[in-house]
Amino acid sequence: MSEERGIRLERLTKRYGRTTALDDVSLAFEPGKVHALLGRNGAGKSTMLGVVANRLVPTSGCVLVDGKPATDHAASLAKLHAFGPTDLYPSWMCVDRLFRELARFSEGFDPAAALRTVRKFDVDPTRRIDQLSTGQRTAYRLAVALATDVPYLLLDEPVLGLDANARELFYRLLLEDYLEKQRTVIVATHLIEEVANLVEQVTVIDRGRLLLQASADELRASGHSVTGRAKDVDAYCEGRDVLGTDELGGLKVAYVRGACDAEAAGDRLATAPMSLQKLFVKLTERSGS
Amino acid sequence: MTKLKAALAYETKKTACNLGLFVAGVAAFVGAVDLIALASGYPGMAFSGLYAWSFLFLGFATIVAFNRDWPFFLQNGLTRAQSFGVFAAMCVFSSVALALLDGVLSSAFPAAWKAQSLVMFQIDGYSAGAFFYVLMLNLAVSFSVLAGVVLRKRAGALLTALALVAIVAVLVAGAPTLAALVSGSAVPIAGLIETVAGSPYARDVHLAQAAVLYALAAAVAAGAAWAIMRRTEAR
Repeated sequence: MSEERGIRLERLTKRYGRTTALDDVSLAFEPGKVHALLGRNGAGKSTMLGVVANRLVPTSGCVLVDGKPATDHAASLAKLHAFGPTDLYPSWMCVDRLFRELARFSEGFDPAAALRTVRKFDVDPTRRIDQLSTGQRTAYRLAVALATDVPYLLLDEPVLGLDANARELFYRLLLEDYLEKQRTVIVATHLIEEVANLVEQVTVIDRGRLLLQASADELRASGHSVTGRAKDVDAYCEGRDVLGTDELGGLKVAYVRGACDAEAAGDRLATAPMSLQKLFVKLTERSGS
Repeated sequence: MTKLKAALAYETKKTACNLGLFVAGVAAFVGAVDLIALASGYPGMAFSGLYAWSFLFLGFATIVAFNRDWPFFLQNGLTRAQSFGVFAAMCVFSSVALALLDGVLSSAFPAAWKAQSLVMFQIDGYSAGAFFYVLMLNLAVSFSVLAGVVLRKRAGALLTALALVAIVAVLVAGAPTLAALVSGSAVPIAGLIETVAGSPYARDVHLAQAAVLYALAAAVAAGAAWAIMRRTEAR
């Protein structure tokens, strides 16, 4: 009998009073891959990861980790580590003491590795958490996440407050971690282009609903952009699924679904593969309108 | 070590440390005030009913522990049931520790502690019943505060305040109404209130009756805390 692996959401709904943050969402995160969870502000990304990590209680529906319920089930929760945008660790503790405490809570946590990582981010581990800057707080929590050996790592806005150098360092460490452990990583972020080369699967949610889920390669191949004079672009777009357009002066860019038709584009139009970010922007714009 | 054991050890160690600081702090403060009073020619201790201060500790420690450690426990993968177990154990631990402290002081220094104890001025001599009475009162206070702080986390400060006002209103209005409606119930109700309030003027009541009432209150508060905590979130 094959054992079901991965994280699966079944008809998950989460309401805050009259606001529906997640609306009957069903989807699966395949194991052993790096997933990007994309969505605009308020789309429901943090809520989704919060429910998976048991910080939030679903209004209805359920989350399954390797086929077992996750909400308030110790065995399933032991397979997860969630990095959230809010700091849930005791702020009065020094970073190194926190690492020692965490080692008691989780056998999979390596305090020495966390110390090495936090030093790479130039954070003094003898300082209290409430004395750290926003970026340093993100850094020590990333150190905890990377030093916790669990099959599922949930990262909600993992580079919040980090400068460009620290972000580069984090992506490098995450890639090294992934190559070594081959665990499932779900990254919810706004910085799509920064994670575009890392991710294998993309999930887009909008207004609490699943907009699309596909592999990053499929998505990149699913659309293209054509640039040229407005008249020529309009002629090319005739009868095609156009996600959106941008215009500047007499120049027009159209974002079109499907494979590029080089013959129709001819010499007058420049074509290019569509970036994940542009695809995301156009998809969510269209969904919103 | 499992997460639950780690959480229990973490919370117990922290509570024991805070309790030690509290007792040492109170002793230092009271000692200093007494020294000043003695130096000024004031006869005897400057304080009475010192044990009531322990309720400050029980309330404050429960509020701080829940607010700080509830998100920490969820972050560390504890379930809500496990977290409740840890906070309940913390309430029991601090209640037992303070009741034991009262017991030791009542037994070792009955004359000096009589004015400071909750029960020593009601009864002559310290007994197992007195320990049970103080323990149940401590538990009732701890678990009531726990229920309140969980409700605040779940429903917000305004709704919690309204709920507390409603409970007090029901108790304040309920007792006289019941006494007026049921003939002959006024005296037992008055005795009950005096007993629960730990009044030295309570007549024909036994500490055990009050202890049972406190135990009931503690059980109801613990049940309420668990019921609310089951859907409480960490944001």
